[in-house]
Amino acid sequence: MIEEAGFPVVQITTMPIVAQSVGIRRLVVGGGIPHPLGNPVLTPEEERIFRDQLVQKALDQLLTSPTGQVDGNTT
Amino acid sequence: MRVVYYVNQFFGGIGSEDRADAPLQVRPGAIGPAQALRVVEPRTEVVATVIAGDNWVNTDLGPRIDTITNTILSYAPDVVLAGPAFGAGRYGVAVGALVSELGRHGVVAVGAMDRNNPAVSIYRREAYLIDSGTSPKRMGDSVAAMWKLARALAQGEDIGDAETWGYIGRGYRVSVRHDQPGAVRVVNMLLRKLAGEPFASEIPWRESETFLQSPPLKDLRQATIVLVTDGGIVPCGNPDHIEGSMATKIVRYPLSVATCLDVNHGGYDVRFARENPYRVLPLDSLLRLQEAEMIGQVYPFWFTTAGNATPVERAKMFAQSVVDELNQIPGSVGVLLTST
Repeated sequence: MIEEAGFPVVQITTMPIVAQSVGIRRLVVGGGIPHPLGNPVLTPEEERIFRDQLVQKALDQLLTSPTGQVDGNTT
Repeated sequence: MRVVYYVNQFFGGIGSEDRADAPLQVRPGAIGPAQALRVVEPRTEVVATVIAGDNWVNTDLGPRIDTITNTILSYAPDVVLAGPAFGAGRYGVAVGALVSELGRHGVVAVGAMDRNNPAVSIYRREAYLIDSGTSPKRMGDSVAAMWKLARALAQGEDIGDAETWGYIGRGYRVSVRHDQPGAVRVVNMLLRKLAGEPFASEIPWRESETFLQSPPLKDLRQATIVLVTDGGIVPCGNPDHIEGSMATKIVRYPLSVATCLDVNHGGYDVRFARENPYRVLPLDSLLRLQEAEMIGQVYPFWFTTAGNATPVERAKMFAQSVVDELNQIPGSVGVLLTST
């Protein structure tokens, strides 16, 4: 609905299948269901870099027309 | 008949959200809802209960469903039952994906969940899913309906319409014989309509939904980025009393109060986010990007709710209230939504 109102949305989620089922096409796969923007096994510094990179990757998607591809990560 | 039963960590008695990452394990015999099956049908042999944590399954869905499927196949079941998942999204996805995958292997499998579970729209065409409603009080009825349908499928019976069997319509039409031809039925229907009497169409109308995509931003450095989360990150004390489940509101807070954050969400293990709320609400990253002039500005408010068993209609209402505010922001606007 926010998209329909003219605002591009990018979602960071660890369950892309649900997001896709409601029509969200700008997606970045997060680091875990209870911590999409983090990963407790990393050191605080590594985790901060991980989060910065995910956010950067997500925002970059706002510059593109969605293709339906999911930008995943393997962390 | 040999039955294998699938449940999540909660109904398998392993633990709650704190054990949602529990990997696949198999217990001999009937655990949890599988015990209800033995009440329904005492002669049934539940050879094993297969249990997996919701986060474990959903974090790498395809391969994990393959692993569970192979484990179940090794028990050579006549029938597999999964759930009910009620309104739980992750459990629903696990049940839907598993029942669909077993079907592709030629195994009779039936799941159960509430018809508004987000997994329904993904799997209802492939999987037989009994409508369990949202309340576990009806567990026994759901298990009985699952068993009845699974047994009929295993015995090769013709499965009729969804309403009779209690499953969620799969979108296929089934031919049935009527006493009256269509012309008579449609005229009768029209007469009832003209008389203002209740009538029911024989073809349920599903509104098809299309999703319009908005154009991309041209330049992040000129844009305002708005942070929205359904992960329940709230100011300390949860001042607006946002509910942890079936939330009735989405609230915006000024970034200035983000110095003390808490987590209020009944649908996931919040320990990690309590330890560091930025793991759900990446405010620090956005502010660093703003500082580095990589983005125009971070909108000075964030929006938050707890996305947990949220009905679609309410989610649309939340979206509308966000849109109302976005419309007030001058210049180009992009939304970063984070979800647990």
